[in-house]
Amino acid sequence: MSGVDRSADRRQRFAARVRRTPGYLAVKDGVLPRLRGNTALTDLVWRVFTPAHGLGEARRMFRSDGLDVPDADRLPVIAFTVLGADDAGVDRALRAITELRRDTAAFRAVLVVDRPVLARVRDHGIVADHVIGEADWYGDADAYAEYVGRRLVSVVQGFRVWHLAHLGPGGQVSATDEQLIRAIRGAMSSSGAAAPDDSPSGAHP
Amino acid sequence: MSPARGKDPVVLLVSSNGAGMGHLTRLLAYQRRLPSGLRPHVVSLSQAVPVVSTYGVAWEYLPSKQATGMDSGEWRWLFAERMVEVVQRLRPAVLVFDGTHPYAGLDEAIASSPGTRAVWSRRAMWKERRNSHQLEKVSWFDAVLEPGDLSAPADRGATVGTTAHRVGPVTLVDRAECSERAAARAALGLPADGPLALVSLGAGNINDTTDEVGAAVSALSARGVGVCVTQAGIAEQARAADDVHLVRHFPISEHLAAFDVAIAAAGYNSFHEHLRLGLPTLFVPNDETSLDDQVARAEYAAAQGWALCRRSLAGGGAQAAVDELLEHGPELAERALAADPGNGAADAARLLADLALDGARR
Repeated sequence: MSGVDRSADRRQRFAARVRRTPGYLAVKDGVLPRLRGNTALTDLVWRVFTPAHGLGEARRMFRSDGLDVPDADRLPVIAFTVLGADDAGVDRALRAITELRRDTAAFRAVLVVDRPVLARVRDHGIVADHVIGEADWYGDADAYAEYVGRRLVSVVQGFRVWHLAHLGPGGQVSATDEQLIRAIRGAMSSSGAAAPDDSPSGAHP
Repeated sequence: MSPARGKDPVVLLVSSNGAGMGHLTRLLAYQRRLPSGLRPHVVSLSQAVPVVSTYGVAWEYLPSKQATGMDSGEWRWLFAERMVEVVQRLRPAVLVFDGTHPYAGLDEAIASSPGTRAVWSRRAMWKERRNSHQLEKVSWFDAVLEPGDLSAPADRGATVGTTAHRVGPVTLVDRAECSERAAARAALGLPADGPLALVSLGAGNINDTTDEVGAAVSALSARGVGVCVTQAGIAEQARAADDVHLVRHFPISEHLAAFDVAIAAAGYNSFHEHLRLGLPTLFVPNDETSLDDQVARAEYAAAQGWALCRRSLAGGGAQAAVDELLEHGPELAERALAADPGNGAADAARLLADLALDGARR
């Protein structure tokens, strides 16, 4: 179990003990869903606590390699897909994402690929995710699109993605996606998250 | 990735994210020996997973907790969701998990496909009193497969005495499949002549003799032995005058004849590859692993006269150890070969095939 630290091991055992506590299932399956689903209670909590929300408020553990900025754990996660691309397309995608990160220092990145380039993606400080390429799919052809759809839902949910940008086989970021990404930092500053030093030079490819 | 098609029963091989290639290599050792009529498919948390396409095996990647930097709770959700999707999509006859820590969510995935037989491939030699709570997870599986360890008599870990299908030590290749010295050197792009040593001790500083790698390289160089390393980061530290070569090949075990000697950590795969394939080796066990008892493994091998073992080379004993390796290494390696019980991978594959075909009939 290389890489598993002992305090995590202890937390895991504690969680397992809690799950075995009498009444655990009643709380998990009964009480909590009722609390979450209670619109009056939700409204009251908002009125009383006015919880901060929006860009740059929530802290989340996620890789932010190469982003030497304060509060990198508050940055949103953006997932990019580059599917059906050749090596040159993947390289263009990596260059485009790296440039956007360097310029904005405003997001953490996932790149979804369908080629054996996982290490190359990681070398750019970007989390790699993978879908089986269409040419390698051995189920029914019709099922492939459904599979990719399911996998993208998983990417969005699993990484709590703030925006999903499809780069296409050419590996280029669309003008509208670029417009949105370049606006993140300004939106974060207005919601109270720390901005990087004067220039975005804190970001390294 | 292989575009295998058809209705053959799927053997789903799931590797955890250990350091290096150990889990993937072991699963490939099983896969290579499966009979035809089964369709292997690898799901791995290792970014090295595309290498399995060398063997024509279909693969997919699932980012590990370390690769994403996520906290454990969130990552477990992702792992469970992905594994359930994979299992429901492939409906494997057999699922084999290789690792010492079955992740939460694997149980959910297995339970989501009632026809799937689940096997926990779990090497032994755990450090004493470590990880015993993981053994409770045996209830998730239909069988436990334990690849044997040549140092099993020195095992003091929690798996000793537990119920398991125990097979011989598992290596990806057998001696008959390995290339001869000249062909091996050509395949790896190494000089045809002169003594060469494989140094595989993890990361290190080649120019610092207080570092394990640096001490090993210095002692070998002093005797005119060229050094081969597998990590680009180490090779880049070498000066122009140094006789240091970077070797990048998978599996390197098929070309071990390229090397006269080796200085290596004592992880399961390299330990068994070096002993089973006859490479004279000085083991320097890595005691920083969380679970794998490399010290016990290497010291047992040394006590049997199969190899040399030093807890450290950085304290000044490197030259004497290297001299002993160069002088006595070949006879130690011969002794190890004589004690080799054979490759357990074929027996393991037989077990998996029986389960798969039994599952497919049900």
